[in-house]
Amino acid sequence: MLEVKNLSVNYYVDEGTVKAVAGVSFDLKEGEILGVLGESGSGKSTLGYALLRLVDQPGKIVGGEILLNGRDLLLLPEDELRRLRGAKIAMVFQDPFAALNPVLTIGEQIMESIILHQRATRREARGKAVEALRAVKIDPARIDDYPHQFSGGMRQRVVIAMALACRPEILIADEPTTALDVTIQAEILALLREIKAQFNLSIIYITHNFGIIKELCDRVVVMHKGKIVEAGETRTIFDHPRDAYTKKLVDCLRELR
Amino acid sequence: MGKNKAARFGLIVMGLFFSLAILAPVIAPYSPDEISSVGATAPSSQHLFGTDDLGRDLLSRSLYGAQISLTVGIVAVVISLLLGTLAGAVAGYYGGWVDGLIMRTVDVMFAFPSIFLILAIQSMLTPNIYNVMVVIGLTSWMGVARLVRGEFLRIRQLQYVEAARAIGCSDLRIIFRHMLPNAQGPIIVAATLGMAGAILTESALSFLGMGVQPPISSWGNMLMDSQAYMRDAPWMAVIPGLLIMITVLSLYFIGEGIRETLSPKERNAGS
Repeated sequence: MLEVKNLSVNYYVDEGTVKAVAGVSFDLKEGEILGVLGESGSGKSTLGYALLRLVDQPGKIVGGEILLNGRDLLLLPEDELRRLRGAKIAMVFQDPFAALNPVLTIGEQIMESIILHQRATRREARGKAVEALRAVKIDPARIDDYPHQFSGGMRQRVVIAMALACRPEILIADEPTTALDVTIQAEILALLREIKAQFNLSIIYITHNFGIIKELCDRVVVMHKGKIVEAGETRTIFDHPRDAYTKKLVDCLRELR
Repeated sequence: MGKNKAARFGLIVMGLFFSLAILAPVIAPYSPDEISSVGATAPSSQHLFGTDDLGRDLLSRSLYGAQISLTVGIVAVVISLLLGTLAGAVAGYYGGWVDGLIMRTVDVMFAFPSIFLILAIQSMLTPNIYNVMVVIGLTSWMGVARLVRGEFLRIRQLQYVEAARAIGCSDLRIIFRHMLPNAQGPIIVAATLGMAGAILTESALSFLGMGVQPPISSWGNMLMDSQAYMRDAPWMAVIPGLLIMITVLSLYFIGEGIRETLSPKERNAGS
């Protein structure tokens, strides 16, 4: 359903041009969880932002195609793209402490995308926000609470509820558990698996943690220095990594056990 | 802010001054233009603040003058806040050449000695109280613009702004719904300090005869009236001078109090 061809993103900094994503191609099939694995600076997060065309100055998408059900997102005018963001493709962020606006209640933040995309009245939107909160297992009675009244794990659930509010087809999760404790991590991963089934989502899961990929993802692409060095079924890659860099990653994980 | 004595003093004084200004028609013992004695008389039981050279009651003129001075302060600050916030928000949000253009304009406006700019504009217009408010507002927005730009540059980096973009918010929505409320603290501080500045500027203008025109009284032109009588009727200068000083000081105290409440150090200690 999502096909990325030859995508390239450059950062233009004082020291010169950094090719953060250099000709990356992959596809996401309906109902699957695709892992994007890479170390810090491998371009994996930039890739995630680029899929929604959210790359900021001094970065720029310089080439390629992002085909969502055959339509190239890179050719869409900004206002049409805005209608897709949150509605068809949603995003979950790395740091749940920073991803929520401190001056708005969580209800207001979840309702926002519903009001933006579905011409819903506030009452309808509130109903849907309650549904979204139920889906991520937060007591809907807390809908009028502010972000600082929640713990990190709970906030990440709120961020997920925000992303789910409009029933998107694709969820891009950018290291959503990196900032959390290991036990909370496991809860969030279980939740992601659950909502994937419930909402018929396809998920792109970006992380540096092969352990999570192994647990969660059907397929994986391994990124190194802006390029995809290896791609395939998670199992296959874990058992028989062909690329030298992937091998190192796999060895790391084995040593840890 | 409850712990800060100076700020509490400022709030009480400003509350008092505002109430007195609003109630001026009720409590003023004389009409502000009424000649109620012969020439300047020292403060007495009949005239608590004394009278000026024309025999007008200074308490009444101070009360009505407070209406003018405080109104000028508020309106000028509202104008400068609107302009400064808009300019700063746009500059900070969009960055790049937009930022460059706006901030260089701010630099140029800052470099220009504003009192001369105001005097020049005032001498071209009819100097009345509406022009005074607008001109002060139009020449005092730059500080607010710099402040708001700084706040926006900081907030722009935060993930919830990215999150708002990721659910499809437009630029305007992000600026006004997501970013501005998070920048409101420093803006409120700037507003109190800006109001003090505006009241001072109004006084200076009126003192120079380019502000509020007689017979309407403002604290500034009461000071102007006193010039020739400093030696014989010092109360004519002391009273409006004190009023201006107390007002400006109170506003600074309030601003400082809010700033302290907002600073992270203080906030952690409080909670």
